[in-house]
Amino acid sequence: MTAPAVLTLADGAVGYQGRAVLREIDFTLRSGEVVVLLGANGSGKSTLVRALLGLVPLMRGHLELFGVPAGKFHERWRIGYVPQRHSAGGGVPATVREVVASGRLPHKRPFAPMRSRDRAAVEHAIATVSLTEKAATNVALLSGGQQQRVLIARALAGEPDVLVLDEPTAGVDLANQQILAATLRELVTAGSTLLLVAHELGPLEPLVDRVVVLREGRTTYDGPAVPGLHHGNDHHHGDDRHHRVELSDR
Amino acid sequence: MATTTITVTTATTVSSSATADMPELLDYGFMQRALLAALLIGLTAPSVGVHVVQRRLALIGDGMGHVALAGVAVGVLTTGRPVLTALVAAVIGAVAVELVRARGRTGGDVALAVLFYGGIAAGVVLISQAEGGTPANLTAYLFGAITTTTQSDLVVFAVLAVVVLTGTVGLAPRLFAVSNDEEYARAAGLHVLGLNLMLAVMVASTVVISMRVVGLLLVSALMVVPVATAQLLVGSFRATLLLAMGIGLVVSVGGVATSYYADTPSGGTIVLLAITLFALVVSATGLRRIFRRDVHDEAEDHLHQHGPECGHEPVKHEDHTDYLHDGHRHAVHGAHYDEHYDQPSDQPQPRQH
Repeated sequence: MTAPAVLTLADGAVGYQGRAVLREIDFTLRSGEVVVLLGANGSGKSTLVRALLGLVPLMRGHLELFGVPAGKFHERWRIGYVPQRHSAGGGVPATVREVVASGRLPHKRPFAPMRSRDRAAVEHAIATVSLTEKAATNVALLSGGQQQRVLIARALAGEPDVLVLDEPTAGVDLANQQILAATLRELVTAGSTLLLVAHELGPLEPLVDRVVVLREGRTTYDGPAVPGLHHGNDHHHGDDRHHRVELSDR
Repeated sequence: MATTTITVTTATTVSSSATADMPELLDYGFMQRALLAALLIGLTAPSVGVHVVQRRLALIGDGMGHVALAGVAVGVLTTGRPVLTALVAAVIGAVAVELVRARGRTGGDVALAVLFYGGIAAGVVLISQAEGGTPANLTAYLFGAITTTTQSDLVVFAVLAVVVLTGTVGLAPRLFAVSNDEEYARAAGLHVLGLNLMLAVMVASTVVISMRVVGLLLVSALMVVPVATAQLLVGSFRATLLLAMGIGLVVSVGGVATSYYADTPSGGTIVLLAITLFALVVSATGLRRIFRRDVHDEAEDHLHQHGPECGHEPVKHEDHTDYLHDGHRHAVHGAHYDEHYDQPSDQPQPRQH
């Protein structure tokens, strides 16, 4: 009685301009699971996530989303994507609420105004990441960690069945890492399905059901989280927790 | 109907003799049409511009203007109605630009340069072949002239303006989502290519609406400068969109009226007016930042509301209660908390996070 598969990639290979970055990947994420994808820089973690989301084409292999072949899957909103934080905003100011509301668009017809249900979902998503006080603030004025939480709220606003987060704690100061971990813990307690890309397990370790380690484009480990598990080919020590402190982006 | 190029030359004499006895602005049919055209472009250009600026493509309108010029020349040569041929050329150019961008290959900017300069070169060469045509005839198209808008132009402009405004305002949330984070929009299942093509076509249409009063080389300024001005004053995308449209309307109609009295080319006058307003706002906001006295420090993020149960010690401070929080004091201020200090001299420099 295993839970239904949410994302399944069988014998996947992914590459850019004909050169394979990932080979022989068999990956399954089941409903209710919390899986962390570990690996060093350049191991192909982000590429795998982008392939699962259909953002890069497969060179070979078979991808199913919620049991439907990827090409025939049209309910993309069911997968909430939290990309690695990019530089804040565009050329025009936008409030936290406006950015989060863009996560609600797949539920809206073009030209249709926001219904009260949409508005409630947006406010709830903002509250989940504890940014209600900042809802009307220009996102460009927030710290890196706060911006990361905005992106999580944007994904949550679509009320997805699974959340895919690409290095949510990268470049985030310690205080915000703790808030992020608390937010993720709440989501896990609520029974969310999560796929996280990370350098290391760090404070997330107790939440994780399964770890998949990528090395040079192949999976080298797929199993339960064991203490001290590492991505294998790095040169720093286990206690290096990436306490990178975000510089002010003002 | 090869009358268009001729009206350009006679027009200047009309307006210069008009300054002598100063008749009312609206006594002339051409002024009524010019003001209506200004109203349409004043609203549409910033509504497109806000999306273009959001994508950091502020100069794309300029390129579209170059391409539209080839269409103008073809129209002058063949039918004498350059507006529709300009529209066709600009739309083809816009779609080509978007497809080049979507492929995302290196060398894309070189492809765009070839397209843009090809357009303007073809325009100059073709128009020289028109009856009595010299490159000087292009001036009115490039920089705008108030006397050139015809009745049928206005009809085309009005239709285009309605289409563009419906798209830019009605689809603003979607266009915003795509410009803000294209990869996310794609992952969420939005029709990114379709929305991008639609925006490109709206840029092209805006360029065409502008070709009479603002001019093909100056329209980009009317897309960008009101947006740049508005975003100094407001903090949300929606407010920027609406305020920029208001600014565009004022400078565009005001510029046409000024150009009538001052006997100057309308396009340049409109753009100078827009830039003057921008400069004023920049100085005003700069001064406000220097002299503002009501600085206060917003406290760090709060995961809880301070209150009797939060465990932080309440402290009476003048007319309200602060809460001791890790050695400093928090006071409720609207939706957030402020840092409060005992002595004004304890107050650090504002906004040094």
